[in-house]
Amino acid sequence: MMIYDVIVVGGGHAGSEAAAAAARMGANVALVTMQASKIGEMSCNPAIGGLGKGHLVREIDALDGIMGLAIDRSGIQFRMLNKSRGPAVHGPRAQADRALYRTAIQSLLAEQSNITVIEAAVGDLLTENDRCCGIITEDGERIKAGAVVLTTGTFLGGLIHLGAEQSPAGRFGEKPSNALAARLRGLDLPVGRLKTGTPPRLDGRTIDWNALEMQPADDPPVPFSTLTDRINVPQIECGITRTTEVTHKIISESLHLSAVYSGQISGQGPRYCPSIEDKIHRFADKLSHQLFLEPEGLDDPTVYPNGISTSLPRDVQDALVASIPGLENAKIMQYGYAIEYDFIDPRALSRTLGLRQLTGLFLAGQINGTTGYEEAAAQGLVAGINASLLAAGDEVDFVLDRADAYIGVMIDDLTTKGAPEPYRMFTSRAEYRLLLRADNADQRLTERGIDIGCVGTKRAQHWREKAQNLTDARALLSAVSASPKALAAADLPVPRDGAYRNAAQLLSLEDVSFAKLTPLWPELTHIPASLWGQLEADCRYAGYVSRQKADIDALRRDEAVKIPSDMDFSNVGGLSAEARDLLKRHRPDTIAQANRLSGMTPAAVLAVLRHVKRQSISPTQPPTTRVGSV
Amino acid sequence: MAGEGDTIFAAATPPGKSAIAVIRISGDAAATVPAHFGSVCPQPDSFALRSLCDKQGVMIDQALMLFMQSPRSSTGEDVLEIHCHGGVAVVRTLLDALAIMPGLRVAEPGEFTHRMFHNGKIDLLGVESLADVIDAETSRQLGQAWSQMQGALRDPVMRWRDDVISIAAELEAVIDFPDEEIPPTLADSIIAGGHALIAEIEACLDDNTVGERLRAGVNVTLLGPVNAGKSTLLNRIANRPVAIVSPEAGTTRDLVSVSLDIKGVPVTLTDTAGIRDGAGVVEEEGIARALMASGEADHTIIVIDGSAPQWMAHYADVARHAGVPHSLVLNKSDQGVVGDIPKGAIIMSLLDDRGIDEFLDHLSETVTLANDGGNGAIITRARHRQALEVTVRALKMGLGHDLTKAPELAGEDFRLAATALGRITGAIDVEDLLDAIFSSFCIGK
Repeated sequence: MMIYDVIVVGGGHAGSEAAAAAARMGANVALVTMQASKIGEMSCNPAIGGLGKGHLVREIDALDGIMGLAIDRSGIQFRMLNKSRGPAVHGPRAQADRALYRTAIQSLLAEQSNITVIEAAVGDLLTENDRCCGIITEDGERIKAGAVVLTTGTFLGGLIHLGAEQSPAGRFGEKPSNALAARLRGLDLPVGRLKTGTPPRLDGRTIDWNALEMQPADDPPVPFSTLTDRINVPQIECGITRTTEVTHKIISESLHLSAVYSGQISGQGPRYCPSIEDKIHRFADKLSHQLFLEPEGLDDPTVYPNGISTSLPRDVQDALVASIPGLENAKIMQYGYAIEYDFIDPRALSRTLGLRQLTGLFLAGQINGTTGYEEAAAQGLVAGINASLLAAGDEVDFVLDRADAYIGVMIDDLTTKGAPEPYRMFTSRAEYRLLLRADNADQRLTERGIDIGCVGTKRAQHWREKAQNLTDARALLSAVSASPKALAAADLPVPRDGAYRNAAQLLSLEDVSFAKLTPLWPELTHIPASLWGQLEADCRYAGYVSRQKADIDALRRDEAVKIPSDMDFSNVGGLSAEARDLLKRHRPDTIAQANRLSGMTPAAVLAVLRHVKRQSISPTQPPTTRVGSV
Repeated sequence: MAGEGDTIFAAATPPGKSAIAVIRISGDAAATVPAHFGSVCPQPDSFALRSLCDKQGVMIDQALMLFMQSPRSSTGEDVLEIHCHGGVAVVRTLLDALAIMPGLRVAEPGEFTHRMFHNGKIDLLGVESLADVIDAETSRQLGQAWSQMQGALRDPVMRWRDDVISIAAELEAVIDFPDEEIPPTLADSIIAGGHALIAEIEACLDDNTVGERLRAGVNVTLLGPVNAGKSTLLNRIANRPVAIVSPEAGTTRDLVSVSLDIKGVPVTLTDTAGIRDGAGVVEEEGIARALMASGEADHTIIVIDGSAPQWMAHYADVARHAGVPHSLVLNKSDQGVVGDIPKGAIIMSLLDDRGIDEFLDHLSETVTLANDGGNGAIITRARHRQALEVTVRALKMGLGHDLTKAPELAGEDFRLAATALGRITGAIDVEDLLDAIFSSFCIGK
């Protein structure tokens, strides 16, 4: 029998990141996947990043994850979304060459010495004393480990719908993990069903590109990873086209044939990634919808028409594609489909992403009801770190809170609110959006990563140098100041109140940038230009961030009050039956989490708080475990 | 509050002899109470006439009992009401018996309401209105309390909160979906919607604090030189001797108040020390308090001896110290009033009972709180006002940003506005925002 510290099941974005993180933590890792050549596969849209999602990738990078490095090696169209707006809502995004991305992930994993890739389908879990301690493959092989991370994506009970056709599958042409799904259902976990869809893939050689508006990449492209100096992959353009009245007519007349509308699919789909039939049905007054034609690779003729996800029958897909300008003669290489799959209600997880009911089993990615590569990878990272901590017998958890990172926002949302629809990150989900920026992910997280042990020496050294430069730069910005008169002379209009203003205060003003200050104080040019944007953003939001500080302090106080995992809510006085039921079902980790459960009254939270405080002063109670976040 | 899981009880009627008294019991053990009296609990939602006996089987009372089962009760818990005879011994014996039953204890003040709130039976505004219903001393106060309970403020606040959320959602859609086709007129619609909302909230704030004053009562202070007849006036109004009245100057050194119901508005009329130079130390303190009271009052009535030849100088002197607004009473008209009489001044003679009716009419006009800005006052507490002021300030800040260049800063301000409104009744959730985004735009590729 083989023995590892951590087993990661699944080689998608969650699995790759989980395996890499556990390996960086020093664990001996087995990555078990059905097909090793598919590790790092992008099964849907060949792009990484966007608003909220790009923030997640930067955070993964700050914790020395691999997603940012992989996209930097494979991105063929980098664009910074919202560039004209404030830095807090800049969203880095890049379209990937699908093959290059897969290669990048596979070689980044290969660079880690302690990962073993095992090709097998997992059929069962090994448990011992109510603890998960390994897996059994469908071939009957037993592999033991201190902790197991499941990242099975849409493979659990996956069912593909194409018109009236149905076929069990995890991805198109790949079989689902039904044995494992049955095993998990047997654990009596809260299982739900979600759906998502994908558009038909087109042959780019049959598209009339000359008829289309083209969208170029940013020049120069801005990398995701702080370890990437520059992007060396050639950059391409995407085409933009629109649906027509004819398209809408075809779809309206065939609506009853769509798997989603015929009632064949029961799972809840995401509102923000609707199928084209959904868009036309729900927004009937909109006469045309935009779509982006995104090449899937430099040497790959496949084109991903972003915006027409559908599960209509093949002949209807042919007709609707042909009704779109530029696509009159386009050939469909693979038809669009909808997929339904099982997910585990993430409220069954603690914020380490470990299952409350079965110690040693961690879940990450779409299995938790999320959608998107970035959401999956971020969970994989957290699950991988916590799995290796558990396997090493460490008492410490790695938990990020809502004021630390988008990762913290996401995991908190999932574990307190569940996933009533496939969960995708948006910047509007973050209360502290001005603080949680894509540009300062390293400032927020790298030191935390170094402390917990998931950051390698190269990045640690790189960060420490940068941190020193930032400290020096901040000192310099506060040290140089000028009178209103001098500032006015330098074309920096400030009130003539006689008050001297330093460079940091000036950068907080709208429209004041480093470039405007360097004529006045040439010494500012000693600050590395790579830091200018980050410092400008820090100064710009300083006022708002300090206003939020009181809120964050209150949050941290509540996060610091742990609710013992064995607390019996029946003994808590003053709880209504509903509140008691809610608490028993969701078992919040902390008072702050209890407060965020929907349906929880402030009074009930107070009752729990009082009970916890009474318990914690009683001498028989063991000390509460330390939470990673302080 | 200690022992929140306990079952609590208290007499719901005041102590003393009466035809009927009511004892309320709320909590898990409520249904077990009848058995301790050798009786049987009534069916949920129904009354039953039962004999209640002590441990020895001796009859305490024959009483109606009403049982309401959780959650369909006022507190949301099991509630038992005992409607017994209102004899002192009956009530005393029943309460003593309840006190020694397992799991029961006497309710702390306000604890029933506390539990109503805890169990989601009423929101914060409901708790406040319930207190106002019980505290109401006049018909208009009662009317205001019930209108508050029925949503006079809750309804507009919820609507405004929805408005802020939908404005914020429009902005968030711009931020989170930059590649989508958001209508280009969106910024205009955000700005127009925001300004309309500000105007509506400001109109409600511009209510001359009528609601708060009706709830708390209107304070009117009598101010004037010594021996002008302020205390006599107060006594005459109150129709009972509340202040020491004597012809010797400077008798009223402290503040003396009387509560009046003037056309449904509770009015506290306060007499103060007479103002003069060369007062003793004690009197000086009294004068300082008089001026402070006038400064804090909603209205000051200056009472002057109109028969004194220099009354105009006295009036000017007092008016300089008085709070605004104020009105003038010229007393002792039986001794003749000399000089030009200012418009609106009330000529009075307490000796002949002249001018009292005019004074009361004037007082009534002053305090009937008609000037509520024409919107009907819906703000009854400083807490509401502060929250609405924060909302308006945040909305103005938000709209002050360039929505194309700094939508994230405007978003932050709108968030603050929504939170401030939410604090009046409940809380805002980010899901509200996302719901609003997805229901109004076709988003997603």
